[in-house]
Amino acid sequence: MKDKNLSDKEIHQITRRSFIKVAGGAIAIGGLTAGGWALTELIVDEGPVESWHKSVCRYCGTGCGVMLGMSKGKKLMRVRGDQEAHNKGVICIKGSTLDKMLANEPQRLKKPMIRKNGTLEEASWEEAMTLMTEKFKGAIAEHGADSVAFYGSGQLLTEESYTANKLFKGGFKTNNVDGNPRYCMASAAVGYTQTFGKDEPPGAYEDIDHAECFFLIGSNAYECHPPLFERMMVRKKVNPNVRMIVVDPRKTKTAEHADLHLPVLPGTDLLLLNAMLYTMMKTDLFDEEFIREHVNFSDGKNKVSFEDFKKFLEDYKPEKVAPELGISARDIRKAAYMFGNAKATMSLWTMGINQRIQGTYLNNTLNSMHLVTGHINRPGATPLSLTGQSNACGGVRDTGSLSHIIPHGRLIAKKEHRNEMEEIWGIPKDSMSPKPGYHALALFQAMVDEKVKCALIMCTNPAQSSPNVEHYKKGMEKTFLVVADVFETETTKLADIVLPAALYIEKQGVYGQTERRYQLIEKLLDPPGEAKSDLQILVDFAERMGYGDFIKAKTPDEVWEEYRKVSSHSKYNFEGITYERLKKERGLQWPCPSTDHPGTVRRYTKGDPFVPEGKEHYFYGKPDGKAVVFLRTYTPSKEKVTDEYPLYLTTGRVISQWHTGTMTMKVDELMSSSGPAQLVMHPEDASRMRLKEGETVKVEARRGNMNAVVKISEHETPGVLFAAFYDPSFLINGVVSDDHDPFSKEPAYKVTAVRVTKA
Amino acid sequence: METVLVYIAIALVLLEVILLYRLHVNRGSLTAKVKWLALFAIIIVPASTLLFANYHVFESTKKSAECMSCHVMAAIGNDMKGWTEEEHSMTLAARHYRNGWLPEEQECYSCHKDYGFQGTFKAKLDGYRHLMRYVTETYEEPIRYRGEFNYMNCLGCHQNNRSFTEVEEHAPVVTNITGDNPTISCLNCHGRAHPEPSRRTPGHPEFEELKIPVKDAEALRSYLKKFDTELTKK
Repeated sequence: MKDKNLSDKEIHQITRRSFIKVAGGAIAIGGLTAGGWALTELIVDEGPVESWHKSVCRYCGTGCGVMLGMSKGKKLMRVRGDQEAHNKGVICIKGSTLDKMLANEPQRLKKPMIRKNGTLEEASWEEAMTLMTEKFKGAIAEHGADSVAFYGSGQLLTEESYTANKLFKGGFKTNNVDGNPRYCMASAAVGYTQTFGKDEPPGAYEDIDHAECFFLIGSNAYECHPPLFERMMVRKKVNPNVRMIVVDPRKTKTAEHADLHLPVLPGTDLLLLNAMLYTMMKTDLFDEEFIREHVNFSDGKNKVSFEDFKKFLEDYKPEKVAPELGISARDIRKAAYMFGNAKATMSLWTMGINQRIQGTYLNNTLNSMHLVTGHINRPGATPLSLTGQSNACGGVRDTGSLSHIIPHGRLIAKKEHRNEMEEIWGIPKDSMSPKPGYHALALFQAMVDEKVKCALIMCTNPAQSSPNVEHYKKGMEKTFLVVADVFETETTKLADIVLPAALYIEKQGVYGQTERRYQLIEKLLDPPGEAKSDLQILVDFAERMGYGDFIKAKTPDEVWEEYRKVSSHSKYNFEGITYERLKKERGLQWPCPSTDHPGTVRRYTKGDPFVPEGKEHYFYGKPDGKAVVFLRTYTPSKEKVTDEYPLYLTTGRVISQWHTGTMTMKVDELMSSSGPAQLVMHPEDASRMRLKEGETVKVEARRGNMNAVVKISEHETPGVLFAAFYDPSFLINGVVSDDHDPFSKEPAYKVTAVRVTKA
Repeated sequence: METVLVYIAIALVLLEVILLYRLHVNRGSLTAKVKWLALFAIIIVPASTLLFANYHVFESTKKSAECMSCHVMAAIGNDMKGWTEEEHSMTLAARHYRNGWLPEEQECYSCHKDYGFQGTFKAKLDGYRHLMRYVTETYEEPIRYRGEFNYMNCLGCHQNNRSFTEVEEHAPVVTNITGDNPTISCLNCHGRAHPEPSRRTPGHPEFEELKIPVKDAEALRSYLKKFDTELTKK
């Protein structure tokens, strides 16, 4: 009821009491809101990761960008795909378990070891390095520089391979520098160089997003490059017109997803490529204008004409070659039509093509198929050779760390190339050895023959990965072997000195993968025990050998600065790829001549800094800017099946293991999936030989033999056996032939004739 | 269901107004009738209104439209629904959406509520946190997932699904996630769930495009047409 004595103003005045009430209410509601918010902020489960760091996967040549989640205690807790990198966040099961691999600290090599009275005993760095220096100096003094050698790896950092190469070739003056990329990439490198005049692919992964036809040959991408396979499948799902052809003797998981699977007999696929070329020629699928403007033809020695090429193809009529290939002429024609008629065709291949007697020829011909059909230098149209190791391209091919090359596509055999490097390295003109060094197999043979007395092997395991391995192991035993690695391997077992090396994020450096992309791995952890980075070992070794002034760059930063500037003298020019940029960006593709250059996705076409203004395409690796199509004749493999050796053996990889298993076999998840290696055969072969799964058999080849446990799988083709080489207790490379391609010197792991009997 | 809830809420509010009015009129005499009236007007009806309102909010915030009402979520939602220029976005969310694997209207919620009994509660609490962050502008673009996405959310649908069980390459994943220290995420091999952070950062060329809300099919068509004309011009 209204009090008549009060004025209106007094009536509307808030009393002290009611103000406190209202304020109290407001505070209570506000408090509840804010308190509730605070509570919800507090209960978010942050997980064990304190900070995320971008990096690159340690394993294969896909070079996936990864995000590494580190805990407060500086331990790697999580691995995730980097969404911003080329792989768009997709990695595979091996990369996903990098944390588990790195957690194997107890098994790491932590102290140097020296062989004393037949056994390896722990020693100090001083002792080990002194002995190593003494042995190398002694060998050089007594037997000349060519009695020492370096055997490196497509997994060393670029800075490390560059330094080793410079020390041996420019310092010691021996070209005995080779490495495991000889076993996997040499045919691709020689193939590209012969066709385009420069190594490394013209295209990029991005082409997968634009291709309308995928031609996969000698590649089991489903298992060996899973993120790339995923990308192809995504492309197929988005665009139902996209077709996939898979050429593989085995019915791999990759082949299972193909629109057309061509199970050719091992060793015959050059027939297929030439027959496809024949069909494309006859069905008017050649791009004659492109050929006229941008292509020369060669028989390997002399320039020939387009007409000669056409005549050469007449020998490869599908009906004629189909029986030897083991497929139908109709399928050959179908494949040729799909390849030639698509809007953009992309070929992808890897070891099935490279590890072959005719590996270089196959690479040439694959490149040729793109050149004559004009399926090149456009989005989605490119011949892309997939790499096996994380840094085979950047670290070994680009630094020239093979016995016949020097940095950035220069050849040892060419005087002007040597002179260029001598000038860049500041050593006397004509001081480098003009003789190419031993390629991998020749190197191990030279060890057998005791011509090489001392060798440094870094970050690789040739005592398991070499073909006809038992033979070459004898050489490794005879030689004074210094092996730097992270875990005990089949090779460290043969070493005279074992040096403990830093692994992955325990050091800093650049990895370069398949598509000319350089990415930086930053140091996030300290190596365990006394382990050192391979670069530290090489720098120390150089100083002790008296080349401290020559190997001026002693830290990763310094080496990269030197190396990046060296590249500016070549068409590889990546002077613009600085550490600073690599720390921010998700890798850069060379050529990239200046720090404001965005990098080059596709080479030899517009956007490539070396293509002259106004030209659509220019293959600047060749003097007239024209790429070369070679007339490559098929020769049957010596490893042909006979009554005595009636089955083909082909070796390869499985999805959950990598290379010689030194890292991946230490991860429970991966081991539980792959199990120990076995000899895999089609049920038809098994029943013919009355074999059951799990039985032990004897595998015999011309080079050697071994016992193996049988696994039966319909993924194999009758007549073709498969064995993976990751397992050291299953040394399939003891059986594999060491025949090699005469040009690339790459061994033909993929085709060995064998016989199998019950053990 | 939701319409029913709205009607119930309106009815309750009307009832409450009538009750309060009756109480006001009868405030002079505290008869038994008025006491009952007071009980309903002051306790029972407000309490049930609160309950219904809460339930309503619980239900409606499960909708993707609600999530997308904050502009920071628009990019993610537009990408999922294919309302952006990237018509065939290959993010996991977009692929699930296109293939009809997500419950209608509750797309976001279906993957982001934690699997299990307390999942809804956790999702709601987190939603409240997002709301507070949004209205107080205490967030930074691009927004990022805090903590770890629970792989159990994927397994909720996939664990008995052929696409998971029949792929033998999933064996190491199973070993990992059933072990003591699960570290693997399904996203490792199956890629981005949403547009990557850089594209959701203001200043990125695609930022505005991702954010344009295209509400219906008609608008989408005219939007794409505009895009086509622009392309032809180029």
